[in-house]
Amino acid sequence: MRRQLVAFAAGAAFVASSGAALAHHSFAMFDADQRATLAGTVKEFQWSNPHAWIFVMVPNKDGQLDQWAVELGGPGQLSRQGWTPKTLTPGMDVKLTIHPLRDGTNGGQFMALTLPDGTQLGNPDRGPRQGGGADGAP
Amino acid sequence: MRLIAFMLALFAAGGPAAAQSWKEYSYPDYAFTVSFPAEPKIETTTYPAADGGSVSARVYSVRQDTGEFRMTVADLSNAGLEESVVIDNAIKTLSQGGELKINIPARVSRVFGRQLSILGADGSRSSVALFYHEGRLYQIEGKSLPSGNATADAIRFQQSLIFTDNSSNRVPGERGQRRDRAGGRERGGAGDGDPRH
Repeated sequence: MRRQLVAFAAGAAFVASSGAALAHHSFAMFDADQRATLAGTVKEFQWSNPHAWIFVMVPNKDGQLDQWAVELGGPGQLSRQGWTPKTLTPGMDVKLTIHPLRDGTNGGQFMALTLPDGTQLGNPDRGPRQGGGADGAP
Repeated sequence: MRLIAFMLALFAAGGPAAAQSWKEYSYPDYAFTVSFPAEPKIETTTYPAADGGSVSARVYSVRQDTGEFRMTVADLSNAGLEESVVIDNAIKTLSQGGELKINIPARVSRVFGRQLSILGADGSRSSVALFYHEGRLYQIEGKSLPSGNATADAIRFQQSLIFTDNSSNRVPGERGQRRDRAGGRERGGAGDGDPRH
């Protein structure tokens, strides 16, 4: 019984600590209380460590195209969610939901994306699983 | 039609620099990796410490038409300065003449620091993170120049920093004490371990 308790405690400690280990950095630069939607065209999908990025060209109010940077999880996490490096290709029209940057510049943290065929990735209501991303206490 | 407009915009925004691709660079002697849009220039220089002295520093940088990407590692191991003094001095130096738009806790793995957004007097915008770790100040700065629109690249650069030594600049008890002094966790922040608490 005691062995089982020790094993359970060790397992629980591992699970608790692995949450923090999943997230490479804090996401404090993004405003988790705000949500924004972007409709634009993929310029680049960078499948990179420590995090993947979507660069998307979005028309501004003057009709010019602004480049936005949207940060996702790491490639491993995305793979487990069904993403591949070819999920997004340049020229693809997408709609994104993000937590915007706190400083108002053109960037955000990925919450959800709608592909041209209507397929939705992520959850616009819940956002990404951050894996202990912000508070950082192992 | 829309695709043609997009391709033209890409071409206009691109130029020679866009032909190069981002790549991760590893510097094991200084225990970090970072992604640059091109091969960085590496220089040994000095860094002005908070006590008025200067210490040796390594600077890894790429300058393009639209932005600057700079990683500075200053050796403060013999300076005898508190972390909060080092960080505050760096913030003051970086924001001189400009406007500090954001100053929030940051964390990379188990290394805690600060993250800044600075609007320069010249109209540039910088995304910066600062960490005091193993006697070194790590200062990563992505700057979108007024003439360019590199804010996305500046953020990407600043967020690419990885510490490879698998250690922390906090001990668990210290993190808790700092959190308590700060009055609890800051939502969306790296609250505990904040060097300014």
